[in-house]
Amino acid sequence: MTTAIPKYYLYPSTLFAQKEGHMVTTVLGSCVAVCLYDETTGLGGINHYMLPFWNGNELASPKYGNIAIESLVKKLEKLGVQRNNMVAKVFGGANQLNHTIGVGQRNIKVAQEMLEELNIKIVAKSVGGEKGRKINFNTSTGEVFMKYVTKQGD
Amino acid sequence: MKKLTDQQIIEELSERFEQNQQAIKEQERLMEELEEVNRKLMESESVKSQFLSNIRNEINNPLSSILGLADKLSSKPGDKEQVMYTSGLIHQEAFSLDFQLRNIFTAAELEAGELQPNFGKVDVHSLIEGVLKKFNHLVSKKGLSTEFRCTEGLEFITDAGMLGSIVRNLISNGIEFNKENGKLILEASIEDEKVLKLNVIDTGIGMNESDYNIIFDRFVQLETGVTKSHLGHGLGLTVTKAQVELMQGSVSVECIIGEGCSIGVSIPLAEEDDMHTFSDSGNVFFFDDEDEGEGEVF
Repeated sequence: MTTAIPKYYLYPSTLFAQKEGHMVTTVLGSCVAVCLYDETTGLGGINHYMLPFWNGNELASPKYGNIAIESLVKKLEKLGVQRNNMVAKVFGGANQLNHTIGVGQRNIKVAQEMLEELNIKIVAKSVGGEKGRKINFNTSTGEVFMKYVTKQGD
Repeated sequence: MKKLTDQQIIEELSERFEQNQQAIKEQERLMEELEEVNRKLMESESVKSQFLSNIRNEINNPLSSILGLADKLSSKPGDKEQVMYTSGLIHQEAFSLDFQLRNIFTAAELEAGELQPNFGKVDVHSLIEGVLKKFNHLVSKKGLSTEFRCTEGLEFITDAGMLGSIVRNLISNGIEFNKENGKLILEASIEDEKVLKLNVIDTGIGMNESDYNIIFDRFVQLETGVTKSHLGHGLGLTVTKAQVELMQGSVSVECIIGEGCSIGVSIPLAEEDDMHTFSDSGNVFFFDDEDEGEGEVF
């Protein structure tokens, strides 16, 4: 890669979508990250959620899949991306010993179901399994570089 | 037409009956689920309207006081002592307004997923001391004695803004739910050079173990309704917990009924990745290097 692109480290329970292209890094265990990208505008965004559904007790933050996905779609729409141009790449949702059984699977399921409902196609994914993942998402090209990590992610 | 024996008819009928029963059961289960969701929805509606009316009071009351006092100050200032007294009151009201607004804005940032930790070296001792000082007027109003247990010059790599917000809320909580002339103890230490531990101990009425988690729920105070005796709208500890979790930490509660509560916070040291220190191009090359067979491109 020749041109330097700003870097951004994405924390669990947060999301990222800006006009300027960034290389966004995040580390996933049972958490799931949904990367959305629109080829026509060259804009992309990513979230990183820990649990599938908001419980109604804590803040309605992108810690929860249903909120994280909806917020990301809305944020990209505000940047001028049309929903029917968005495609998705989904990562994470590993089964990890120190987490509640099945939380990874449920995190994956909420992404699949919500994206289908929103009519956003999943064009690539690497989900499940037992290993954590570290991903680098180039928001201006939509490319995702992924490798498995032994370090426990979130 | 096929002829069925009596036995076959009975079997067929009981099978259908069984299916019917199951369908009814399934329907009942769905109905229960629906009722549950409905109940939660109504609850969230009432929470929202309660929150709006609470928030109106919390913001309007100090604001009207400030307006009134400032008006008095400019029209009938009185002698120096009276001016000092009035401006002291204005400060108190503005302080509480500032405190509430900060929590509301932080909650909004957290809900938008836009609050991002920004790590650096923080002098924990002077940060906490500074926050505590700002609460002096509330501490003395309630006649509390304070004790701050912390090594001078204690340093830790964390987000100064978030730590300040966490400490502010813990102290405010420890004052609000303390008894008159009680004691407020603040403890800060670093465990194994890796974890920052904070404890805020009050001498209030304490609470049941079953309520430990509820206090971190949003818009919740154990005592509700028009007769509730405590200020705030149940956002402080919710925001605190969310900020602590954003820094990969955890909160804990321990109480003794009638003697008081201790609210603890553990924040781990920010990791290297979190410090954004990794090289600008190294990672990309690493991922691009397909000979290694470790990275994948999607």
